[in-house]
This record gives sequence, C-alpha cells and structure tokens, in this order.
Amino acid sequence: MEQQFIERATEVGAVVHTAADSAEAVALVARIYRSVAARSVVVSPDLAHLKEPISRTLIEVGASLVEGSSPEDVAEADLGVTGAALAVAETGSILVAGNDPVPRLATMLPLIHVAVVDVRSIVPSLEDVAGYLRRTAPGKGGGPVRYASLVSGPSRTADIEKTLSTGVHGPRELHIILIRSESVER
Amino acid sequence: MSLSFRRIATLAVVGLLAALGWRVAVRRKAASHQGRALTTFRGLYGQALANPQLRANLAYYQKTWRRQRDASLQAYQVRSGRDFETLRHELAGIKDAVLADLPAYFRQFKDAAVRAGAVVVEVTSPEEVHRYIIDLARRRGVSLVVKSKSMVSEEIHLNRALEESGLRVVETDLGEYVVQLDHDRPSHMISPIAHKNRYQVAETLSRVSGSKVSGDDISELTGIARRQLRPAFLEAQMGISGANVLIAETGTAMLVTNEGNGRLISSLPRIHVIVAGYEKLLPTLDDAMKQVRLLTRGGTGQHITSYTTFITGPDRPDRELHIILLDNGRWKMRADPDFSEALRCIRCGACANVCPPYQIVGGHVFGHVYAGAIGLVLTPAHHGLENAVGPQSLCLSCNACATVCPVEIPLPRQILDVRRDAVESQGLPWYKGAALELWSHPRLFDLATRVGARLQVPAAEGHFLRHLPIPDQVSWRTPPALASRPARDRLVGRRPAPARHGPLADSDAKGLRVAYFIQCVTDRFFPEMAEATVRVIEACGAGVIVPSGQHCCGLPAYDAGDRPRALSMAKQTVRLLGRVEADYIVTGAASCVAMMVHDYPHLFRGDPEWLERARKVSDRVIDLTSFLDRVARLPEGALDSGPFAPVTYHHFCQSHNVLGLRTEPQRLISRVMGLELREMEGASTCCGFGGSFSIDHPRVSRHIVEQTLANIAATEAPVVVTDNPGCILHLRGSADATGRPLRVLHVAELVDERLRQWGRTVA
Repeated sequence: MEQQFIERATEVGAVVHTAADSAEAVALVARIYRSVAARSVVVSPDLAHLKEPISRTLIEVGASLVEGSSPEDVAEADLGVTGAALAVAETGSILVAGNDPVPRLATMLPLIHVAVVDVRSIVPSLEDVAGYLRRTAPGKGGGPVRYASLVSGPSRTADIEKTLSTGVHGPRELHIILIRSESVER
Repeated sequence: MSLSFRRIATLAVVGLLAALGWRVAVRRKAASHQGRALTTFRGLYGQALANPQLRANLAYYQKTWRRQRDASLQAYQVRSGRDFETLRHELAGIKDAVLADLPAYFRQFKDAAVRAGAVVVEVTSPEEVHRYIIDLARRRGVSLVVKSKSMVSEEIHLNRALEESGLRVVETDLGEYVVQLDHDRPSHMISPIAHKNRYQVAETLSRVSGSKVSGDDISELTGIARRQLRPAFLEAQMGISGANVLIAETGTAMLVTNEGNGRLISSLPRIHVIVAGYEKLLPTLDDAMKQVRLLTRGGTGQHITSYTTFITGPDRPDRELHIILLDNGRWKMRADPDFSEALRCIRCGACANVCPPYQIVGGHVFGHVYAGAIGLVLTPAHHGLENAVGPQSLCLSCNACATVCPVEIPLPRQILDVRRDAVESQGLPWYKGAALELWSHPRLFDLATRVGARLQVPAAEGHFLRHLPIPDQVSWRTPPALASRPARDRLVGRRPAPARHGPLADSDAKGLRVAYFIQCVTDRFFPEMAEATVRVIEACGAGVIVPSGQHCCGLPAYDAGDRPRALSMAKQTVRLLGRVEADYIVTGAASCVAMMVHDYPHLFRGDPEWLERARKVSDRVIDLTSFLDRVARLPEGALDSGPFAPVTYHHFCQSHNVLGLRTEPQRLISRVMGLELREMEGASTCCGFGGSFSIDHPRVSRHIVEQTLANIAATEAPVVVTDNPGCILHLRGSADATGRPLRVLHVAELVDERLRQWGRTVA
C-alpha cells in the first residue's frame, strides 16, 4: 500500500519523501525549506509532538516562524508544514481534516506545502475515507469533523489551453514526508 | 420532342436552384439584420463561424481531453477490474434511486445539515435565490463576495443580480475570472475559457494587472491571477459556491476543485453560501466517492482533482453556512418521462468534449447557459424552449455524447425530443416541411424522384450533378445525381438465388431467407450499392427477397422533429415488413437499423399495440456488417482474394455509437478479406452529414467533413470504406468537390469486389 500511495501521489504531482523515523522527518523538513528558498514558515499545531522539533530545527536553519493564527498571518508564510488525518493509496491523496482553521490555511495559502504523514495512516481506497468521514460526522459521537479535504497534489489549473500549471491559488509544490517507524501522535 | 424536354428540364433545374439560392440569400440577409444584436443565436453563430481560432482551440482541447480521459479510465480498469460501462451503470442506478425518492432524500439531508448547524432553504425561482443572498448580505454588512465556479449561479445569473444590488463580486476560478474580466460567458461547464487561447488570456490579464505579459508562459499567467485574487479571498465577507454532491446521510456538501479556490472561499469569509439543484443529492458518502471517480475522469481525465472537500455545517461557532436548494424547473423535469434522466447529470462536460459541431461553433452557440449536449436538454427546463430552438438544430445525432456520459443519460434521444417540442411550437422550416410532406407519401415520392431523375439530365454527369450555379455555402459538396433506374426497379420481384458455390457459400447464413430493405438514399442514388448488397448476401448462401411497396423507416421525419410524419412513415414500414416472411431483414443502411431497433420503442411508447408490432419487425432487422459477422460468421481468410489497395475504415457514427460495431468492420476487412487496413484518426467521429444537418448547417458540416477527409488522406489509402449511404453521399460529394481522387465504398461494394476478384483468380 505504501508503494501504491507513493506512485499515485507522484502521479498527481506530489513529491514524496520517506523518513525512517521522526528525527529524519524533521531533518527532511529543514532540507525542503532550504531547497525551495523559503523564508517564513507556518508550522501547524496538528503536527502534535513534531511541532516543537520541527519549529526548533527550522529556526536553526534561519527560518522565521509565523506566530499569529489569522489568515493574514498564515498568508505571510512561504511554506506551511502540517500533518494529515489519512493518506489514500488509491488516489495518492492526503486527508486534511479538522475544524481549526490554522492547519487548513497552512495547506492552502503558502506556495509550498509539506505534509508529514505516518505510514500507518495510509488506507486503501476512497471508501475508507467515506468510512472515516462517517465515523467523525457531527452528531455521530466522534470528531466531529466538519471540514475535510482530500488533497491530491498541488493546486493546479488547466483552464488555459488544457495545459497544466500549478500554484494558481494554493501550493505550487506539495511535499509528503512518510514516516515509516513511529506514529505522529495526534 | 427531346429538345423541348431538355428545355423544360433545364428551366426546372434552374428554378429549383433559384429557390435554393433565394433561401440562402434570405438567410444571409436575416443574419446581417440580427448582426447588431449579437446575443441572438444567429448572431453568435455567425461570429463563431468567422473565428478559426475558436475551432483550433476546441479541436486541441477535445483531442487532449480524449487522450487523458481514456488513459485514466483504462488505468482504473487495470487496477480495479471495473470498466467504464460498469461504473457508469452503477452511478446511473444510484442517481435514479435518489430521483425516485427525492423528497425523502432531501429531508434526510436537511435534517442532518441543520443538526450540524447549517441553514437549509428551498427556493423555486432564481429571483428567490437573489433575494435571499442580497438580504443576507445586507443584514451581515457584506460588501465583497468571492465565488467559486458554479454552474447553478450561471444558470440564475447570480453575479448580475448581486452586482446590481451594490455588492462587489469576484469570480476566483481562473477561467471564470477571465470570463468576468472580459464580460464574456463560460463556454464549457468544466473549462469556462476553452474557447480562448493563452494569448487572448494574456491580453486580459495584462489589462487588469497593468503589466504586459506575452502569454508564452502559462505559469506566468496563473501567477498574475494568484496575485490579483489573493487580497479578495482575505477581504471578502461572503463566499459563494455550488456543490458537486449533497450527501444525505451526513448533511455534507462535497466540492470538487483543482485550483483550491473552493476551499479558500469556504474557509476564509465568515459566511459561506452554497447554491445547488436538488439533483445533487446522493444517499451516502460511498456514493459520493463513486461519483468522484467518474466526475474527475470524465471532466478532466484526472484520477482525482487536487481538492475534494467535504463540508458538514459551519466549521466554527462564529461562522455561517447557508445551503440553498433550487428548483427552477427541476421538479417539472423530474415528472416528465422524456427528460427526467437528464437530472442524473453531474456536470462533467464530457458530452461537449466529443461533440463535432460543438468543436466548430463552441459552447456559446452549442447551448445556452449550459453548453454541450446536456445544454440542449437542460435549456428548455431552465431557460425556456425559445432559447433551445437554435442550439438544438446543431445536433448531428451522432450519439458520441451518449458513449461518454458517466450517468448514461440518453442525450441523443432527449435532444430529438427537444427538437420535437421546438417543431411543435415553431413549425418546420418551409423547405423541410415541403420535403417531408413529399417523403411521407410513398407514391408521390416515387413519382417525384422519377421526374427529378429525368429533369436533372442536362446537369447529370455520372453520379454527380455538375455545372450548376450552386451557392457558395454548399459548393464544397458536389450534389449527387438521381439514378435513372432506382434499385427497386432492378430488384423487386427477383427470385432468391443463393450461391451454391463460391468462397462464402457454406457460411452460417446458408439456407436462410433474407428480406432486403433498400433504404431511400441507396434506392434513389446508389442502386448499384443495393445490387452489390444482394449479391453479397446471396454469396453467403442465403436467398434474398426484396419486398415490394417498401418505402422509408421514418428516420428523416423523426430526425427533423416531425413526429406525426415519423409515426406514419414508421407505421407504413412496420406494416409492410411485418407481413414479410424472412429469417432476417437486412439493410445496407445502418441508420435505418438504428431507427428501427433503437428509436421505434420511443416513437411508439404510447401505443402498446404498435410497440409490439414494431418489436416483432425490429427483432429481425440487422445491418449488413452485423449480418456478415454474427449471422454468416465469415471465417478468417474466407475472402482473401489476392492483392488489393490498402483501405481505411470510417465508422458510420451510429453504427459505432448506437449499434456498438467497434471491431467487427476491422475484422471483416483485415481478417476475413485479408486487406491492409490503415487506421485513420477520428475513425468513429461523425463526418458531418447528419441527414438534413448538412443542409441546415452547411458551413459547420463543411468544417467537419474537411477534417474527416484530411484524416483519410493522412492514411494515404486510396479507398475509404463505411457502412451507411449517408456518409457515402457526403464523402463522395465533398471528395469530388475538393478534387480528391478518393474511392468511397460501402462495405457491400468492397465485399462484392473481393468476390469478383476471387472469381477471376479461381478462373
């Protein structure tokens, strides 16, 4: 399933990196930060225990972190680092789910989006996403998750001459870091 | 005597042509008259035809779409083992179940959405939507609205209403943004600026951004749009979108976008308003996923779009979500057995992407607000029959749309029902009314064609009429000459003479009794094709009878929207063929087979007795290719008679799309007859004949056939084969007029030539 996810995600234009553990994932975030020549970064609270080490490492390599949580603040960032609720092998998508606007905006406003995903959160198909949304629907006891998006590659358009162009409103690049050995605690 | 006859004949021919020329002149004058009001159908039509850039843009668009869409469906089939037919049949079934029980699914959706904190309202008219949103905006102090692409908002002309109330409205989908800046209209449901190229877009974006961009680099254009639109997302107090699906079990709205603007307008402004038609309801989240698979593949050829968003109530306590469900003709449509299936539509736009006339004239002409085949069907329901009258005339009935629709909407049949309604309300054009009046009277028709055959003598030269003062508009196709002896004179009353010897005499058709149905064009223009067909059937060991009194299946009238005449002609044929004693009724005209097998059930649906009589006839009706393939079951190599020119095959569109003949012709040509078959591009794309279409829309027809001829020429095969006399008339005439030395043969003629070649070789 991991291999299938990587293939599909690559097909839809995401760049998939694999990390043996969370330390390697943190280092990868810093490497991506440097490679895309970003300056300011928003590190989303949905990264849970990875938020602190990622923030620290990014500061060490010279990033300025966006502190506020208003849309204008998040829009200042060139790069957004977030987690994801699920990853879908069928489509190479990640599911960004939750009612807090900051993680969501961090996947939408910056030009580069880095998602850190545990390999164990990969599910086979869109029906599994349906199952997740059903379990977490408002009034069903779980979540509730009122807002969720399958994110499949970068923001794109082919409105002009059916030619693909990315970064039209959201990210021009989507990087997915798959952590193989330990869970991203939520 | 003969001199005076010649004089009368010449006068008659000149008179006929004068009438034709007068008609063209009148139409030209009417067109120039309306030129001032460019929003009329005629005005837009003329504009589109004068725009070669439009045709080029759309040809590229359709070709790219086809490649990407086929590849994505193929890849899914390889992975899942489920093909397009299975997927679409399943989704159509789900949609039908919802439509059957719509009030209940709506209540379920509403209860869940309201529990999640949304406001759900039902409205009847576009004006009610306008009022609701304008009131809400006033009460909440909204001044700026950002919109995500929504066909329903186009349907109800929402922007205009909101702007008139003083609101600032910004379209945020790139294509819709360009359309808004240009004061233009979207021409495609998925790809609003399919009619523009990069340089046209660059001009617009240069104007609005104040910095000159060339357009060479498309990513530079999207960069400008990003910078221009970002402030609007952040400042707007209200976002408006449609919904791709409303999920009943959870009260969730699903929104599919690629650009991400849908997420921005539903996350940033404090108020999100969704406007959607009732037909967007689906029972469960799983059903929504099934739709996603087909919507994205059918829409853009993607496995999935970049963002598929699920919204269940407002995400935070300080935010509002309003969901407006719109009727605007939908409930009436649901109750109408002729059109209810159109409510299955998921707005993917696939029907436009395979439509030959759409490729020539674009969505502003081929449709109204909704473009493409589905647009022709939805327009009467949402915008009035009067706005569908012009656009519906552009349908060729090629049925390509039906092969790609992800919810199996019978679009070609529904378009003909719209045509029927248009004819009932506006009448037929005079020249069609006159022709059909004649055609619907077998004896008069027979007499007229015989008189015509004599009158045309001065102009006839072989199979064509030449040296005639033909108006420019139709000069691209040399008109065919009527045969001096129609096929019926040569064949009716003959005795069956099945072959006892020969290469095919032992086929599985051996001993069968076959009735041959000639078809009008074959009978009057191509009698030698009829004779070849009979020889071919008998070569297979079957005996052929040719029933006397046979006339027309009714297709020309059905196709023209003239139901009363279609019924009377169909009844005449059913009555006649019903009496015929034969195992099969074979015709070389696949269009008649499509009519008798696929259209008769709809034509006779209100009349159980005739429905049954028609069924008994159509059960025995079969086209020649299917007869050779399925009945005679000619084995491989059976007619490999030695060297022959390479041939290419042009599928008659309805053979391919309605009768489902996909590989049979190829098998017959390359396997059974051992010929070199050179595949042409667009082999199953309509040649632009479409019966009276080529007379109603000669300029559109010309552009289409030019592509067909160019594709044939590219194969460098000197022979093109097809299986319908209409295509043959069209291709022979236009190849002749453009000086192409192309042989256009019916399948029967090709098989017949191979039989003679076999005879010579053996002898």
